[in-house]
Amino acid sequence: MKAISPQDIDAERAQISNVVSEGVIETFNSMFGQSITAGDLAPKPGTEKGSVYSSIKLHQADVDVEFCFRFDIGLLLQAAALIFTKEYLANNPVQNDIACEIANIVCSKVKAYLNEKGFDTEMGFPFIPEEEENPLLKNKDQVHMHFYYDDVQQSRGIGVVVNFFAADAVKSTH
Amino acid sequence: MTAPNIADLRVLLVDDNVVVRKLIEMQLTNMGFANIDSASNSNEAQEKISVTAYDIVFLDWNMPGKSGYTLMQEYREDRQYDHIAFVMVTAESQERYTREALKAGATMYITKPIAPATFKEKIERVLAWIESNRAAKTG
Repeated sequence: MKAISPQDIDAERAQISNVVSEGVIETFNSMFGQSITAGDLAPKPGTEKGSVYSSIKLHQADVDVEFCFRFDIGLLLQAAALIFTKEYLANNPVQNDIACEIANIVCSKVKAYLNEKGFDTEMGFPFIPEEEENPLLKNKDQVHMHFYYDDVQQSRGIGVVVNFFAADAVKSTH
Repeated sequence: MTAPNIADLRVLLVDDNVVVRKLIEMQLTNMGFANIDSASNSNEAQEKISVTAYDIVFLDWNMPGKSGYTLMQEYREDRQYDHIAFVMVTAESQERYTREALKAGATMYITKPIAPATFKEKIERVLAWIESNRAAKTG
């Protein structure tokens, strides 16, 4: 197995993006029967409020590859309503559970892809990032991927934003 | 051999994610399963298995605390739990994980996201395993 570096992740950026894109679309479709599509239009500034974030890290030696997902609350509420009753959801919000499970499944696919390329990584548990350490809110170097869904107004809303980057693992806490 | 009555089979779902538990429960209910319990971690699962004779236990491979994989290994070392069909559920799609799980005693391996058609086909194979396992025990 090869040692992974941030440069390797940069070199694989397009391919990893494809794996993430296919994974996000397939996972929403398989789990909830929801149709979402990939696109380029970025979310409008100020629409972060009400979003749900999840994050997960692939790790090897001194390198973390961190993935951050931002979900529109409307998309997650749609998904939740497909499998839970209103009464259950009134007392048991499940948005974070959905956000973490999507991150878990998608990043497992990335892990498998990197493994095929000779990079063996360990995957941590998905977690909800604290605001101060959330890369999607701190404008770190990012490659955003955007996914759309039919929102309650039947217009194409931005449902998911995904970012990933590789970094030194020294500061890792997860 | 007599096929097991699905409605009589006792099922335990073990996953730390309530959404995954619910999705599996819905698919099992659609197939006719009626006795479905759930646990959110391995400790809770062990408590439930100690008092109920489950026929099928779904285990999330990766859970905080004791993993589902480790829990299954422990039960497979104890012959009194030979009757349980352990179904490993995981997002790990690499073939080596499937081989490892089956070698450690898993009856079936299901990869997330769970497609309904694939799920049904795999559960039918689990039912066949239960049937043949019971037949072997009754001689």
